[in-house]
Amino acid sequence: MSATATLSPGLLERGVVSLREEVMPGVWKLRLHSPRISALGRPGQFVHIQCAQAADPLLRRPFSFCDINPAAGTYDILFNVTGQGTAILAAAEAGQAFEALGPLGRPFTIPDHGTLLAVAGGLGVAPFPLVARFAAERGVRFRWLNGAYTANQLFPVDQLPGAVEARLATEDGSAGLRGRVTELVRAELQEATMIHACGPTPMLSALADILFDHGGSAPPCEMSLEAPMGCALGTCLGCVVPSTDGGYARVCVEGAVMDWRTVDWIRLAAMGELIHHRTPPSRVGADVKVGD
Amino acid sequence: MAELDLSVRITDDLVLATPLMAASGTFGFGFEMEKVGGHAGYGALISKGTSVEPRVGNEPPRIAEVPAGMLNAIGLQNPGVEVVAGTYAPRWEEWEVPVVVNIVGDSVEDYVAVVERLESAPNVAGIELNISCPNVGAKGLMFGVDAGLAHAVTAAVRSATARPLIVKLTPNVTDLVSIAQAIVDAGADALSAVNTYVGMTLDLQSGKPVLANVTGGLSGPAIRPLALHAVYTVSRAVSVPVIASGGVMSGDDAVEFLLAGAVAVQVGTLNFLRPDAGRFVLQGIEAHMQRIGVRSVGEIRPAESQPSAQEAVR
Repeated sequence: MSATATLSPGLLERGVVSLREEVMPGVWKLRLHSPRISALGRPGQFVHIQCAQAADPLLRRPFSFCDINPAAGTYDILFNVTGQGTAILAAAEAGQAFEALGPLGRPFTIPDHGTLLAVAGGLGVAPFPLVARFAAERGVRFRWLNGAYTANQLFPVDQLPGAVEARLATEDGSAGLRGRVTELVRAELQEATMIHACGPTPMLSALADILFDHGGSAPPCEMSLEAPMGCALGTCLGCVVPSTDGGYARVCVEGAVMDWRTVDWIRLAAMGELIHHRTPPSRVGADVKVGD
Repeated sequence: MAELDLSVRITDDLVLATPLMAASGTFGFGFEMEKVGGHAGYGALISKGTSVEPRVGNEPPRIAEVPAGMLNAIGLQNPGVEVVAGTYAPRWEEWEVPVVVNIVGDSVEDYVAVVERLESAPNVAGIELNISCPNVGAKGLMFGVDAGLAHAVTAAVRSATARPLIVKLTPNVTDLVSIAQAIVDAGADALSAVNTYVGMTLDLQSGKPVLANVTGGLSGPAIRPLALHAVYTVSRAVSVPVIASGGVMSGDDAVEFLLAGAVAVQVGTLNFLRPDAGRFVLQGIEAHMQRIGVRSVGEIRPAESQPSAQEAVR
């Protein structure tokens, strides 16, 4: 319950669709021309997009910046269709406009040296093209660990900017290691200056377990979290996760990127499957189907 | 055209520059929205529900979207009256817009304790009593669903403060009018109508309620006709001003509530959709006034109370 968290400047801007592309089966990339938001967005921050003009669906939808081209004044988002809002976006035509609030939330800290270890599961790949771009600009080595249920759900490595060293994992063994992306993490810890992670909550929780095991020798780790979101400005208190101070942290303001030690993983686990009720099927498949 | 008069009077001590109030629970304590310019358009802000002790709130998921609305079960997360009175209230000094503090409690003593602590706090323009909380003493029965309990808590708070006292009605009752009358009899200066409607939604995959709390309060345009009926009914039954609340999404919606009998209108869920909600709704009201050629927002009144209609009745 931090009342003093800093808030990014709120901006409302209409973004005009300039490109829509199916990057992976059922996963869409939408490019929006929105110069003010594109000029300010940082890796790990998000936009809150109004998908409908009418009252249904009512709420905006949060999306991490997938990539930004400030010179062109555009940003990209990555999503699959999980409900009414994303169905509208997936059907958007070039020239169509959507009003967005942003950039919002805390960004990832990009180190200025060493090795950045990126751990992404399922659609948790979304913020990493922009992270990789910033890492490349700073000459930071980018180690890419990506897991999914099956090979065609892995993010195309050639769409990540800069020199990327990739290691992959699939649950069905169709590419890379057969298993979960978190099984790749232990071998990488020694070389990592910092870890950035994004993916389903069970993946983040498993990563937290590994870091906890390593105690003080674990590198700093920031995670991008997800929760059903209302206002995205910190007032509705809807998008909370349990925090280690005994209260709750707002994903929109104290996150979406948080130090992994901010989250009370034990309480979060006790809250169980309710937390994942909005997890899209493909992401459930990427992480929950193990052992089937 | 001459400048529009947008002011409304709730009490002699609570005269608002515009007829719009930010609804409790949709605006925090005003600080986040100040940073994004969200105060514009509002005649008053109503704070998040404030209790004697801090409350951490409910387990997530706390919100769920439903057709043309949302369910929330935040669980009254707030830092407690000590922080509100000692830290937040002094910071409201620099704001043009007055702040009404919404208060919650599990017993009459809780409510009175919050009000008494606020008595020494600066910049508290009024109190809004949230009586949609379970009464621990009455085995979980909400104060707001029983005329006797509603009267008792209102009377106790009334005797603890001379500040403007607004009581927010819960619509989840069989006879709203008798409860409203009991609250007015106990000394309330105004009524807010209405709080959220109890609702729920289930997840088809798990078969379980989406909200960890199982039920939540329904808000948004889905409840607007219900709230309009409540305002229409209550405002005709009581002598004090009624402040409308329920799914306002535009200036026209606010005008509709004024025509139903409200003196002022709260904007709630719309604050979650757009940080300029107050300004947006106010501009809509102004446009309506210019369209129909009235200069004072107080002239937007129920048809039967307008002079021409009264003439017609005679």
